[in-house]
Amino acid sequence: MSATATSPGRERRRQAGVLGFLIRRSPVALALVALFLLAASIGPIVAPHSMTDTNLAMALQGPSAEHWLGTDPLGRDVLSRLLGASRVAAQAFLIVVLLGGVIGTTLGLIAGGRGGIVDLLVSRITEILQGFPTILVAIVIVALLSPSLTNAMIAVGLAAVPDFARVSRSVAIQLRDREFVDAARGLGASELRILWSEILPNMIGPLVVVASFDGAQAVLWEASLSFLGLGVQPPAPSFGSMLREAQSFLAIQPSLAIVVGLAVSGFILGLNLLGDALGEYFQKPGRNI
Amino acid sequence: MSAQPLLSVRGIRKLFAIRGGLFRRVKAELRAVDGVSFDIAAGETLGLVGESGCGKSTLARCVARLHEPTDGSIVFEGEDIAHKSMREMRPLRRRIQLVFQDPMASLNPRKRVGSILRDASRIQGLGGSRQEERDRVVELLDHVGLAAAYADRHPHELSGGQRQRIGIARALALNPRLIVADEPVSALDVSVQAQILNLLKELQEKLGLSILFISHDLGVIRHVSDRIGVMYLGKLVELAPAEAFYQGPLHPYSQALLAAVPMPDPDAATHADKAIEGDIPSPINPPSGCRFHTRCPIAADICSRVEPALEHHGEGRQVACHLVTTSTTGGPTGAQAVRTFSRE
Ligand SMILES: Nc1ncnc2c1ncn2[C@@H]1O[C@H](COP(=O)(O)OP(=O)(O)OP(=O)(O)O)[C@@H](O)[C@H]1O
Ligand SMILES: [Mg+2]
Repeated sequence: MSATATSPGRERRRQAGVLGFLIRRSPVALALVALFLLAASIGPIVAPHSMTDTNLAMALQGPSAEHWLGTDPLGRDVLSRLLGASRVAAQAFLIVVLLGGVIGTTLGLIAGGRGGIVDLLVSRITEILQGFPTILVAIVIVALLSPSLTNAMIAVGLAAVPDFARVSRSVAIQLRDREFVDAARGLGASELRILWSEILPNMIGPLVVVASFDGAQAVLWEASLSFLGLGVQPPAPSFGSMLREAQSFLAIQPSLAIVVGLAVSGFILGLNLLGDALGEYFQKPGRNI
Repeated sequence: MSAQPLLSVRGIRKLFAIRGGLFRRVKAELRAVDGVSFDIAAGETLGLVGESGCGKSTLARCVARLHEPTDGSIVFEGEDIAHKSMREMRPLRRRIQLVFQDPMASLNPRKRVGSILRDASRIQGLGGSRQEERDRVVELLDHVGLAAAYADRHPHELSGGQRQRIGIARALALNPRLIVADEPVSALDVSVQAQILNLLKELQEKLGLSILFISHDLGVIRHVSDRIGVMYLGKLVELAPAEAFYQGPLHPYSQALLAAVPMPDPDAATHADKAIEGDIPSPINPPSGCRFHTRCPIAADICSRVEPALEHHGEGRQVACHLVTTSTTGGPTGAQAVRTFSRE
C-alpha cells in the first residue's frame, strides 16, 4: 500500500520543520537557549565546586585553572554559582509561564470562545492586570508574604496573564466560527469540549511565542528583583544577587560583573531571538509545532 | 402519500438582525430564509439549488440545528426539533449529520484523520475499547474508499478529494439517517467532483441514507437528486421530481438557471433566451409580490403586487408563479404557457 510507504517519511520531514527552521534562521538563539537549558538541568550536578562554601582566602580571584571564571567576594566558585543561578532563572521562567499561561490562556479561550458579556468582563480584567506596575505588585506580595523566588515570580506571572489572554482570545475568535468547530457542534460537542479539544490545540504555536518572550521577561525580572533583595535569598545563587555582589567590587575585580552580566544578557537575548524566530515560523499558515 | 416522511420542514424562517450605530441597535432584519416548506422521504435525495446568498446554507444550518430558526417547524422522525436546546439536540445529532463545503476548513488541522473520526463517536459517548475504536476508523475509511493507513495522516497531507472523503466518513461515524451536504463538491476540482458525487450516491444506496444536497450548480445535483428544489431570495420557487424538472422546469427562474448549465443532452430544450440579468436583490429589503419579478423576463402586472404561493401542479410538482397554470385536461402546462409568453 503506497499510503503506508509514504506516511512515515512525510511525518519525519514535518517534525524536522520547527527545529530545521530554527537551525537555519536563528542558530545563535537556539545555541544560547540550549546552553541555558543544559546549565539549568544538569548544571548543579556537574558544578566543579560548592555553590555556597565560602573561602575568604580565595576571594575575588580572576579566572584560573582551578576556578575557570574566578571567584566572588566570599571566595565562591563563579562558574558553579552561575550554573546554580541558571536553574533559579529556569524556575522563574517556569513559574511565570505556567502561572501566566494557564490563567491567561484559560481566560482568553473563554472570552474569545463565548464572546458577548463574558468577553467584555475578561477584557476589562486583563486590562486592569496590565495596568499594574509589576515592580509594585512584586514589592507588595513580598512584603505581605516573604521574599522568595516563588513570591516574586507570582507578581511577574500575573503580569504575563494579559499577554497569554490576548493571544488565546484572538485565536479563539478567529476559529470559533470555522467549519471544523461547527462540525464538532454538529456532532453534539459541548462548548467546553470545543474550546479544549478543537480550539486550544490550534493556538499552541502563538502561545509558544508568547512563552518565550514572557519567559525572557521572567529571567530579567528574577535578576532585577533578586538584585533588589526581593527574590532569591542568599546564600543561594541568582543572577541578580551575583550582580549586586559584583557591583561593590567593580574596581577591584571587573571580570566578575562582566561574566555574570554576559551570562544573564545571553540567556535573555537567546529567548528573545527565539521568540522572534518562532513568531516568523508561525506566521505562515498551516505551520504548527 | 404512504408513510410519513423522514424530515418535514414547514414554514421555516430565519431572520438575522443587522446591528449598527452607537449601541449596536437592530437597524434592519435580513430574511435569509423566509418561509420554506418541504419533505424528504427515507432514502431520498433532495437537491437544493439557488444563487449565492439565497439562503441555502442558512437553511442547511437550521435543518442541522446549528442555527435555531426564527419560525416554523422541523419535524424529524416525528419529532419537532426546530426549537430544541443544544442539550436536547445532543442525542438527536446522531441521526442528522453535516458535510461541509470547504473540506480543509471543516477538518481540524491539528488532528490526525484517525482522531477526527474517533472523536465523532467519543463526543456522543460511544467510544469503545482501543481496538474497537481502531476497527471503526478502518471501517469508516473503507466506506469512503480510503486505505487504513490514512488514519495517521494530518488533513494537510491529503488531497482535496481525500479530505472531503474524510468529511463524509465523519458524517457517517454516528450512523445517521439524514445527511445535510452543503455544497460538498463546490471547492473541488471538476475531475474530483464526479468521484465524490458517485461516492455519496453509492453510500446512500448502501446505507439507505436521506440527503439534503445543496449546490449552486444544477449540473452537479442532476445525478444525485431524486427531487429538485429551487430557492430564490429565501423562498422555494419550485419543487419537482428530478426527471420532470430537467425535462422542463416550470418557474421562469428555474428555466433561467437551467439555461445557464451546459447540457450534455442535445435533445434537451435550450433556454438560452432566458438567461437572467441583473443582481440578486437584497434580502434585507426584498421586492414586493413575487421576489423574482424584478429580474423575471415575463413578469406581469400582478407579479409585483401579489406574492405567489407554492402550489401543486400535479405529478408532485410545486411552483410559486402566477403565470404557471394547470390545464383542466390534466398535467401541468405551465412550462408551455410561460415559454410562449416569453417568446412574444
Ligand atoms: N450569521 C449571519 N448573520 C447575518 N447575516 C447572515 C448570516 N449568515 C448568513 N447571512 C446572510 O443571509 C443570506 C443567506 O446566506 P447563506 O449563506 O445562507 O446563502 P447561500 O445560499 O448559502 O450562499 P452561498 O452560495 O454564497 O453559500 C446572505 O445575505 C447572508 O449575507
Ligand atoms: Mg452557502
